[in-house]
Amino acid sequence: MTSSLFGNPSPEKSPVGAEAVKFEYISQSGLGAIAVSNFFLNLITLWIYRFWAKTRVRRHIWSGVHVNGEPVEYTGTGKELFIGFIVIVATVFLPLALIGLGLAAYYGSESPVLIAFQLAITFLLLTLYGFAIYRARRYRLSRTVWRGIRGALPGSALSYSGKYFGSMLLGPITAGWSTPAMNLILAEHITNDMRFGNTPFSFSGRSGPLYARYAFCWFGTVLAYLLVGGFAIALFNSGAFTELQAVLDKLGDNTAASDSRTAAYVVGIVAAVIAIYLLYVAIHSIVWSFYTARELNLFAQYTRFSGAGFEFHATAWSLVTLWLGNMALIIFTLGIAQPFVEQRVMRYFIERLQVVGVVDFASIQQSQAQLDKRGEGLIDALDLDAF
Amino acid sequence: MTANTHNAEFFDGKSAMARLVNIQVRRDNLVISQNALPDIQWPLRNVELVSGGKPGQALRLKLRGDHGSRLTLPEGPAADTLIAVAPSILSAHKRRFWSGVGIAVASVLAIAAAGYATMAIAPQVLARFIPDEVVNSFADGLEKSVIKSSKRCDSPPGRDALNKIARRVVSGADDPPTFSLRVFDIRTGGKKRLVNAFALPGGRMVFSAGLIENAGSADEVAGVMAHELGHVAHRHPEAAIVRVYGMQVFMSVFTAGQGADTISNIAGLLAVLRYSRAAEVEADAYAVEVLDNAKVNPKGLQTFFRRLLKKNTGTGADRPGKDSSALKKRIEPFTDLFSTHPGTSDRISSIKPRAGGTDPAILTDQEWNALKKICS
Repeated sequence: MTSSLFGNPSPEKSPVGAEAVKFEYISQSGLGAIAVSNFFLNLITLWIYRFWAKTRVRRHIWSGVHVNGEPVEYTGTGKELFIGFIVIVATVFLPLALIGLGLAAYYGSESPVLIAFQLAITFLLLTLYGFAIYRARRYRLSRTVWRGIRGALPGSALSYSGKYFGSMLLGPITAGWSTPAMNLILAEHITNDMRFGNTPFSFSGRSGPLYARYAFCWFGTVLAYLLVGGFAIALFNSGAFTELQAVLDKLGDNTAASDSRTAAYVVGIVAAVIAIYLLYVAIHSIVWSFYTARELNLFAQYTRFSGAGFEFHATAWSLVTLWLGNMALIIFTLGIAQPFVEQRVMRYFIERLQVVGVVDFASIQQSQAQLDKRGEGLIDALDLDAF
Repeated sequence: MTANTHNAEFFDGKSAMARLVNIQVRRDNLVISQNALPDIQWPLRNVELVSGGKPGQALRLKLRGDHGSRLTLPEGPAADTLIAVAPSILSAHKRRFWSGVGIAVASVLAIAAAGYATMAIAPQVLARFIPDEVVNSFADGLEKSVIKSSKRCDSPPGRDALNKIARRVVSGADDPPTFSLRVFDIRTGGKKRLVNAFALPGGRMVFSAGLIENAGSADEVAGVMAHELGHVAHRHPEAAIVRVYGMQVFMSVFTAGQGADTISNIAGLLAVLRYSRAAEVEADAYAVEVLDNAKVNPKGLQTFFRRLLKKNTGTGADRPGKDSSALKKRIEPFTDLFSTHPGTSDRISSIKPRAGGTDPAILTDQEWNALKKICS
């Protein structure tokens, strides 16, 4: 009996156990119950339960990812995340807070010494961003198990953090034009460090092919702003605002008090600010999804694993609908449906990922990288957590 | 189950290769038999569910403490038999859930306890250990925000009269703390004279000119002074500094450092200088005792409170049966000194007249008039 037992035959099985690789996302029931109970447990524990909440969600979402019929398993625990958080608070944030308060007490809260200290902290935290991202990725990979084999990221978080900080500095200096090149450098660094078991991923390619799309999005954004700005000016000149003012005045007159007129103005201004912000987010998300799709697809092409290549099929439109759906889920459930957002993102990536070629799984040995006892404290503390 | 049938798939945790195996339950062990390899034994009580276990799902198992080995049983008789023999396999994740909830709830309780200790117990204990530089730095900042650009009231005859009251008050204290006392013509936004007294860190006492203006006798001034001396003696202002520190450390820890850059000590200290009810009761008790020892009629403090109440509520003293917090609410906008004295009416009634009868007057009429003119 050599065929698989579980209805996932591998038709292209080559003689020595090399298999084609197929990704699938199969939803499991129970995420709604997890979302609701997590929400209430978070509430009554002042969000301290979040570490366990996150873990339950990941465990569930990971188990929906199937590679050649076998589900992926998340083996992290809430306790590890909790301890990671406590350690970071005790070793980084508590000492910084105490030093800051001490300086404020000795030199006064407006002294240059204190301002210098706060600038130094800001700088330190910025340099820690990349470090936090890398360490969090390492933790998640080491807790991701398939066929009993776990992932690993044994490289240096410090050197990644240097590159990350460089990319944060270059972005504003180059008006964003360093982004494709720097994103490629960061993806190259982290992908080349990634392992499944003892077998490395590799990444090589150039950022050149990204620039046409980047230019399109960059000028598209400028154009969108010009259009919105022009529209606003036209609207202003057309007297629509005077009309609005009249309407607001009328609202105020109904209650016959100048206070309520002021309140109506305030409401009008707040509404306008929210509208402008939403417009800004919408423009960015829509215009830049063209670039994001290109980058995702290209970076997948640049990636290889044990002789196999990758393809990713992102499109701008699918990214926009993914984003719109996620926003709607968050807004209309007041955040309770966050786990479903994470599931949608995972499903998006899994369903659009293809492996080209075959992988000899029998030759992949268990990772020898050391397993950290705790995880992700920094990324939680810096509030960078995307997943 | 015959030995030749493969009824499960096994991953040994060393390579990603799937192995077809036969499983059996022998005594308390799950025995995994592979072709041409020695059997592997998993004690049943350490077997945990990875996923599955519901109808239509394969059963995926691991051994507790083992990071790699995984066993997958397709839905069918082998999986059913195993669950029937060792139903505990299905309940491991429930235990995990409740242990998570338990740690989170315990942490919240620990934080609440730490918060209580930070706010209620530690400040009073740590107050005596704050370095003088810190105390003075706080006191300078507070003084600035209290006095602003008010004129100092320091006419020599007035000052002499005030010193005489101070000497009399201190004579009643067993171990009087060192303190300084200055009068400033502090005005409210509407240019009305403020009626207030402050005990700042480092024993710096500040009276407003309005307080002296509103006092009916030297006994009343002595009463307020003794009360503020109570705050100084019990180190309430210094405890407030510790409380502000504690609050900021606590906030920045709880928000994971995000509160660390919002250091606004003075504003925070002003907020917590509104002493607790317990602190006010302590200061009152101190005042009554000191006044009694100094043979000053403690009724002076009472008269002053009553006068303030009358001025602010237009009702005279506390009406019996009237809720003291409602009363407090009505005087609240007036001054922070007295509005922060919770249950003013209760306190008024708790001050008993001195048993020893008439006391020698603190000031002569001439001295009293000089004190009244301290600002000129």
